[in-house]
Amino acid sequence: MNHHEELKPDPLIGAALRWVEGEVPLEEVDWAEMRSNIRQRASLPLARRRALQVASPRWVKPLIPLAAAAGLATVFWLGIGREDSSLPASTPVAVATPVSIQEALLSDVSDQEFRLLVADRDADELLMIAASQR
Amino acid sequence: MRALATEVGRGPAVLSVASEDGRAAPVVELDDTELVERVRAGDVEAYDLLVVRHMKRAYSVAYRLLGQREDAEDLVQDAFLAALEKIDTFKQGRSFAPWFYRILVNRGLNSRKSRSLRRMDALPPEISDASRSPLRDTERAELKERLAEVLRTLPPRQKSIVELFELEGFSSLEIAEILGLSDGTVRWHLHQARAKLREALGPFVRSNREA
Repeated sequence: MNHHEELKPDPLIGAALRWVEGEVPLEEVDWAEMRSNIRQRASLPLARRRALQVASPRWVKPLIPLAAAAGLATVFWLGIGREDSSLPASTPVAVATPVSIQEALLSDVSDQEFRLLVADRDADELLMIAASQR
Repeated sequence: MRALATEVGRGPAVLSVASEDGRAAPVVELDDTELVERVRAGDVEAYDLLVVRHMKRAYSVAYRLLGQREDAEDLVQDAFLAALEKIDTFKQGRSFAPWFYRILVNRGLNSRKSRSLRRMDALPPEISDASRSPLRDTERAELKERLAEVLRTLPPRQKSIVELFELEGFSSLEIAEILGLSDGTVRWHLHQARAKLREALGPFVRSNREA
């Protein structure tokens, strides 16, 4: 037997098999109903797949470890920042002599430090300063 | 992803997909592998088209395995749903049909093993023959019984192989993939089954030639 040669069906064997076993009664099947049943039973698993696709598109998957690492780094960094900002009231920032708003605006401070500096200022005064900056 | 549209009727589904230039192209242009990719993303229409494409052949194979309409219908439905569950294991670049029929045939063989089948032989189709006579009818009945006996004594896997090849039109390579065998093993089983069937047919063929 040559394994490289594609075998061909034998019409005599095929006819004999059909004769003995009978034809498959394809006409007895309600194809529309079968199709509808399969579709209905598949609807939930397919919906799950769609939901998963929305939740995590394929291109996002490789980024998940990177995002997790970045998240951890951020939490770590913020943790240090929070320690700094929660220094006791006796720290120099808290007891510093009140500065003028102009000084605060011109100084090289972070947003958080700026908020601390101007915390006790009058809202009207802040509004005037902001208007004069324009 | 391009949008799919479908018109579900009694006949084959007419599906279309909007192409890049906006014109609708029939989804039937998409091959099974592309449809599988869409099914992975949860596309109902792509799954439906796979079902429509393979439903009849699947039923035919299932019916040959189980011999009962209801059993065959259940098997087809279960196989399509099992295929959906396992769709992530389908390897891109391979042919969908052998992968799917492997699921169906394995389930069918297991199902056949696990219960006693209430197989009823179909009524013999009347073969149009102008020269029918009581003697010829007797010969036919004997031949049919002989062939049926050969089929009953074939190992189940060998019987499936000869049916898949001779009746369902699968190639030996496809059958090998469906049954998880080597192509050589499939060819050997096919050769064995054919030889037994030809032997049973022998006297009939000879008498027909002599007549």
